[in-house]
Amino acid sequence: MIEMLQYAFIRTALGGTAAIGLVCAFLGVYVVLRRIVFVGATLAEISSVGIALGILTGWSPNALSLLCTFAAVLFFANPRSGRYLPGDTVLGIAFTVSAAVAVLFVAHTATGNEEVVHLLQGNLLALTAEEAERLTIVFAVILAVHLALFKEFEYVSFDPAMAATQGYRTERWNLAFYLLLGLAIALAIKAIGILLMFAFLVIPAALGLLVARGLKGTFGVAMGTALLAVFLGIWLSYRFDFPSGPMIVAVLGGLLLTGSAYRVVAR
Amino acid sequence: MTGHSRPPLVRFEGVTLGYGREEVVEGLSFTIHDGDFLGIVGPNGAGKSTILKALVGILRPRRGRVVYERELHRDLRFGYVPQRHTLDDVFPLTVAHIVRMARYQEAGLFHRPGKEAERAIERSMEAADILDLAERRFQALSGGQRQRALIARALATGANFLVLDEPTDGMDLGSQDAILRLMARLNAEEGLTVVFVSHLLNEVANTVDRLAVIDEGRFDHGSVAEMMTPERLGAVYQVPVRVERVDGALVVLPGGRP
Repeated sequence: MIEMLQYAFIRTALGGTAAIGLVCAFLGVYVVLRRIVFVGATLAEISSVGIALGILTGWSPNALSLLCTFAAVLFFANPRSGRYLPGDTVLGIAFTVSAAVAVLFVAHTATGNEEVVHLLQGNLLALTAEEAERLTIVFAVILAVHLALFKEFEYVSFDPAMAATQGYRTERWNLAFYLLLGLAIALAIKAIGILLMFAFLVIPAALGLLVARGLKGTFGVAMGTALLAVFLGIWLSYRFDFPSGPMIVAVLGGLLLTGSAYRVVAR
Repeated sequence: MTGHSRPPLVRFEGVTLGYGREEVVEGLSFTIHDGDFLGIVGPNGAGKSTILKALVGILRPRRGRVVYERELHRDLRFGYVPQRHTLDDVFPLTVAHIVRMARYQEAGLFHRPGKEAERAIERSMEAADILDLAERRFQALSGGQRQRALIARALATGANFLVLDEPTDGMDLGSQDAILRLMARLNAEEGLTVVFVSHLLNEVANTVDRLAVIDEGRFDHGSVAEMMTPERLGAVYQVPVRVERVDGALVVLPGGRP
C-alpha cells in the first residue's frame, strides 16, 4: 500500500478524493435522515448537464455545473415547485431529462463517448494538484460551516415545526442546507463522477445508521467509512489495474455488507 | 361566549386559514384566556391542526388576525408538541437529546446549551415523568412515552402556554388516560395554559374546562357545561345527538332523545 504513495498523481487523487468523500459522507447522513436521497441523485444529474454544456461550448464546466445546480436548488426549495405535481414526480422528470440532455450535449463532441463515461465514473487519477487543493479548501469550508451550525441544521432537519415556533426561519435554513449540498455535489461530480459522488452520499451514512449508536456516532462511522474506502479502493485499483472510482464504490458496498452482517449477528 | 374571570391571552379575530388554493378554516373568532385548559375537537381534516399552527405563529392568516395580548402576558412562551408520527423514527436520537433541542435557540449560534439549560432539561423530564428514559432511543419508546418526551421538550422551552396536536392519537386507553391526566396536572398545578386538539369528543370533554368543536366549517366554543348539550353539539355536527352521564362522566351518543 505504501508503494503506491511514491506516485504524485496517486497522492493527489487520494487527498482530493478523501476530502470529497469525507464531506459527502457527512452531508449524506442528513440526506439519508431527511429521506432526500432522490434529491441528491437528481441534483447530481442536473449538475452533469452543466458539465456537459461546458464541454460542448468550451465555457467553464465548473461554473456551468454550479449554475445549473443552484438554479435547481432554488426551484426545488420553493414550496410552489410541488404545487401541480407531487414532489417526487417532479424530481423523477428532472432526473431522467437531465441524464438524457447531458448525454446529448456531449454526443457530438470529439470525445463524446469518453465524456459520457467520465461524467458517470469520473477520472479521479487525472486530478491535478491545484484542483485537489482547491477542492480540499472548498470542502473544508462546507464542513466547517456545518460543524459551526450543527445544532441548527440538526433541529430544522428533525422537527422543523417545533423549530419554527421558536423563531427559526426553517425555509432559510433549508435553503442554506440545499445550497451547501448543491455546491458539494456540483464540484464533486466534475472531479469524481456521478457514480462515486452518489455512493459517498448514501452508503457511508447507511452503514453509520446500521452500526453506530447515536447521531454523532453515525456521522463518525460514515466519515470513517468514506476515508477507508478511498484508501482501500485506490490501492486495489492500483494493485489489480481497475478503474479507481468504481473500485471505491465496490469497497463501499463491501463495507456496507460487512456492517449489515455485523448488525444481524449483534442482534 | 362565556363570562371569564381570567385575562385574555390570544384572540382570533375573523381568521381564515388555508394551504395552496384550499381554505381550511374561515372567519374563526374566539379567545383563549390565561390558564385555560381548552380542547379543540373535530374530525380529521376539519382544520384543527391548522388552527394550532396559526396559534403558535407558523401559519399566517389569509384574512383576519391573531392578536397576542402581550401587555397582559409579556413573556408568552409557546411549547409546541407536534403529532408524534410526524417525527421520523430514522433519526438515532435519545430522549435527552430531543429534549435538549428546546434550549438550542436560547443558546444562540455557535454555542451549546449551558449548565442552567441542562438543569431545566432535567426538571422538564422529571415533570413529564421520563427521567428514567433519558438515555433511551426515541425510536424504541412506546407511543405514550414518546408523547411524554415531546411534552418534556415543550416544557424545557420555559413554556407557559402548551399547545399539543393530537397528543392521544393512536394510543391505548391506559396511555391516553395518563397523557390527559399529565396535561390536566400541568394546567392545574404548574399554571400552564393548555390547548390541544383531538378527534375524541368524549375523552376531551371529561378532561378540559373549555371546549371548542369544529366540523365542516362550523365552529362553536364555550365551557364544557355550555357546550355539552344536544342543541349546541347538534348544531355543529348537524345531526341529532344525546348527552348522558355514565358514572359521572359525560358521554355523547348519536341519535336524538330515546
